[in-house]
Amino acid sequence: MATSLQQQLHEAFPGRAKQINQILGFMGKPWAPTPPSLLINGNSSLGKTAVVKATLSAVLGGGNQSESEQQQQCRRRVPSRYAFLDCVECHTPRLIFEHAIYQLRNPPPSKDKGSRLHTQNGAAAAGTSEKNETAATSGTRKRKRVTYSPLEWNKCENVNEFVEWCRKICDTKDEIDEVEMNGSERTGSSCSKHQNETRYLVLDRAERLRDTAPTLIPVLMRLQELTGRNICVILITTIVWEKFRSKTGGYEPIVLNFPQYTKSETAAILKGDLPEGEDLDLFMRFVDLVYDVFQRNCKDLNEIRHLVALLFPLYVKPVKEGKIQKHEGLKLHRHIQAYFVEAMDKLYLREISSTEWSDRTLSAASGSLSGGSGAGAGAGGHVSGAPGGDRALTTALDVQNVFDLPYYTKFILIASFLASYNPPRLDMRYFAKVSNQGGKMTKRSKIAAAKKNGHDNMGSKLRQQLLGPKPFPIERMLAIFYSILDEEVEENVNVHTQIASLVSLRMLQRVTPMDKLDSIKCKCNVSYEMIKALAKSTRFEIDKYLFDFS
Amino acid sequence: MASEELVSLAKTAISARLAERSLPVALVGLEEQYKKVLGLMRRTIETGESNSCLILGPRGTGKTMLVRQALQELEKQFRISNQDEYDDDDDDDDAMELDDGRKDFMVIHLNGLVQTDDRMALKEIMRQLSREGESELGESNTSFSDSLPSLLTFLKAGTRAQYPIIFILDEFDLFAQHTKQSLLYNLFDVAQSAEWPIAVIGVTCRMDALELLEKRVKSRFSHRHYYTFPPGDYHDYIDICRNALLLTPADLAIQTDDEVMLLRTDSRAAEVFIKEFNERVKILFEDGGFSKVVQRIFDLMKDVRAFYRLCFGPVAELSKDSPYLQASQFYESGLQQRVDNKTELLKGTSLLELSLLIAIKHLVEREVITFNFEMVYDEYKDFMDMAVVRGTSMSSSASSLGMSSGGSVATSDGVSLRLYKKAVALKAFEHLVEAELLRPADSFSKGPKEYRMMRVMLDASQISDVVLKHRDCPTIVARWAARRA
Repeated sequence: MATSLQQQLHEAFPGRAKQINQILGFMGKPWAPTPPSLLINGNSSLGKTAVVKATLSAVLGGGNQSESEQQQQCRRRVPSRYAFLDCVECHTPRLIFEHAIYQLRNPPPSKDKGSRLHTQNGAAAAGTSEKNETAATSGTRKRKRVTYSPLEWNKCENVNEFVEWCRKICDTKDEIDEVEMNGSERTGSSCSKHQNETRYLVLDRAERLRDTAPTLIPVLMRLQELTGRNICVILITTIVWEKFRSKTGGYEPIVLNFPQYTKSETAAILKGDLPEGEDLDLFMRFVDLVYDVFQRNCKDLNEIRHLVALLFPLYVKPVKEGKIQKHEGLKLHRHIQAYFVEAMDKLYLREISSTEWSDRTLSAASGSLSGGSGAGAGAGGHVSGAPGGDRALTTALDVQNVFDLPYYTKFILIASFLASYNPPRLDMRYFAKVSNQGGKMTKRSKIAAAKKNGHDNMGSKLRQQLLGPKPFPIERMLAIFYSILDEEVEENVNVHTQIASLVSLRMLQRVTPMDKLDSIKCKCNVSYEMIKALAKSTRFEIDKYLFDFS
Repeated sequence: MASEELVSLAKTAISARLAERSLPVALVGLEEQYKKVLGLMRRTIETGESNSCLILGPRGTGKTMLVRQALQELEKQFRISNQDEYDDDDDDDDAMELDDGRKDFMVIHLNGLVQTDDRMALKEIMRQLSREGESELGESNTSFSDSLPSLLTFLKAGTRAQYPIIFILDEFDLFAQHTKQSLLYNLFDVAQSAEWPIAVIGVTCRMDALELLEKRVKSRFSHRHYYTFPPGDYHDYIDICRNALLLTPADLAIQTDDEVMLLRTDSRAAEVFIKEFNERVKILFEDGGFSKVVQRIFDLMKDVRAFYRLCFGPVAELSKDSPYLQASQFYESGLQQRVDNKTELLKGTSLLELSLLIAIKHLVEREVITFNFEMVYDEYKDFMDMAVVRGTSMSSSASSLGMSSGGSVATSDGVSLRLYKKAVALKAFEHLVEAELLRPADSFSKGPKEYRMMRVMLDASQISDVVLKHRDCPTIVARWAARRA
């Protein structure tokens, strides 16, 4: 049985055979002692969570993929042997404890809801019914209880109670379990009467644990010792163990590393994604192509999957339309090339949803895809409401173009940008109108000033442009504002209202506290690209006024 | 030949020892301390004298093991069944010889990690007391102020002829951090006033634990301390390690009735198996490569647990087909536990992330210790600009994929490099932050995230190492990484 199970898991997870074997080895027989704690470590999307989950559920029940029908029958009524928690969801110790207890006291979720009734027996057998109904029952908890709740949600506020619960859970004997076990003549099943089966506590995204409580990680690491029972804690995380160590140290887990997938493994995984009714050969060729193009810069399997799903319809479109034959790889390649360039620019960004993207690309004719498409930096995630135009990936830049401000307000914003990025001591030279040379710095004097600042031996990495906006007093900004405006504006309340509205739009950021009314200081919170666009729209030559920009 | 049952029994026994669930076969280098601790507890039980002591030592040197061993020994002597201990399956040879009434004793385990304040600790004491059927205090009182006096009166009302209680305070230093140290004060006070016979045994890894005690607490403490140290020389270390792996006859017999039956039928087979297994373990310890692995651990940290960790894998692999431990398995798991996981993690970074890291390395070499995304991107852009210039001057051949449009460069090894847009690079930068390779320099700062100052959590050499190990790093990038500012 073990080998077939192993095989199934190996088939389900290509390239993870070694890790699965290791985990299975550590688990051993259901009642065998396990290492107190495991740490599963690896970059994102390497199948850490999936492998652990599948392995546990296959071995310990709950999954329906591996076990014989009869065995599953008896398993289903038995409380789960493992608890699977996500530390994002369970962000306080109390939530972790309560979820763990709940999962360990109830049977693992399975598809057949009918057998739920039997668990009531298990509840009675457990014999511990604390009727602690917390007043503050959260929404999720309520929902869970409604759908299937053979046991109440147990209150558990601190480590002490949790350890006590763990002992109780591990000592719980399931009558059904024993009867069935004795009935089915399995070798060594009598052991389970005497030694309890190992319980597993899996904590996904364990890096969050560090934020919850300082002593929680040491406690979990030696839960086995503290409870004196067979409990194995498995942490799944993307960061290294060194970051978990606490000041006084503690028990160290065994570290299991998940390596990157190789090309063939990636292909094997993506094989499962073949859309219905498509040619496998063609699909695999495309997967190959995508992998070759993107793998250097995109290690994330999910992202590659996303790209494949996104681009494959485009790839096969000419074939379906009969323009290109299936075997003409080069032609197909050339056809998809432009889309690749574009996707590369958008890697990871997902500015628009996949459905939106496919809608647009498919509706758009083989239009003007070339020319870099002018992707811009900007507040990502904005989706312009423009209907599907020529360009497939409408970008956030449009937001900047569309965004409009009143004429003077634009100048206020430009002035504050200048005030944020230019050193005050050069204000005289840039903005003073009395000067003979027209008040503008020449290019040469600029360079001289830059040299004097000693920027060059720092590789000009400490330029204000790179350091970010500096706070400036409002008065200075206003002085610049009046200087860069060609016409005369009288200072009135409107200007200040505009400043206030810019602050509320978060384009200016107030650094002095709100209750301070005098000598307000602000920072300009707008990117250079946006200021350039603004300056262009007002025909203001911003580059002439900026010091040390590139 | 080894049967499957025997192998699985051996596996169970060894991994229980590795997981520190069962006690080691012999104490190495701790005999002195063991004798003293045992004597102290025994005096409490036999003559009813109250005692207190501290066991100090670095982690993994066997403090808790020492206490457990002593308790087990006492249990054997005084025949009690403590629910907290797992393996009290001694045979009935010395069963009823002790009958003078007060030879029983009780153990109360507290752990500073679990009982995080005095209230909880008190509750736990009550619970453990009431479970032993000694008092009904547990249910009646819940608040600290109520239960403390009742516990104290309970303890103080006792006479020397009472049931001795042994308090084990694991992670003792954490108890000293409770407000007013009232639990410690009261326990030591009871111990000193010699009413109810109790022994208070603190276990901690903080050498300065005594300094944490308040004056009034300290003055009630007996000032006995025992130190445990990691094995001093390599021989002791090897002995401990070997003991963990060697099988004893008891290992194959600790199980239930069924197993004993099984053993009776073919106990000869078991003996043969044990002999063979132990022979193999001895050979294993003579193996050159294996000793190198062990020596390395010993030189690095002298931690027995590090060796135990290494053993889990090979022990888990024991099966009917390969019933004995082999040195080659240890090489592999030794390597696995030794790899720098950070480098391992970095191998999975994309080229863009790698480029950003190299840019950071160059910044740091120029003593720009804190930096923000804009600086890194600027450095990266500088490099890419240079690469483009050089690439076009060298050859304008299209790359293998013909992707040379829009700022991408074909390098000599047929890889196209391209300058990524700021937004994409920012995403990659954030990924590095998420992996905690970069960390914000100040606790929090407002303003755009591009300008948030960061520090790198890697060494320059680690970055160069990654570049060398990276699977497909173009030579031009590698050269850039190697260049010094």
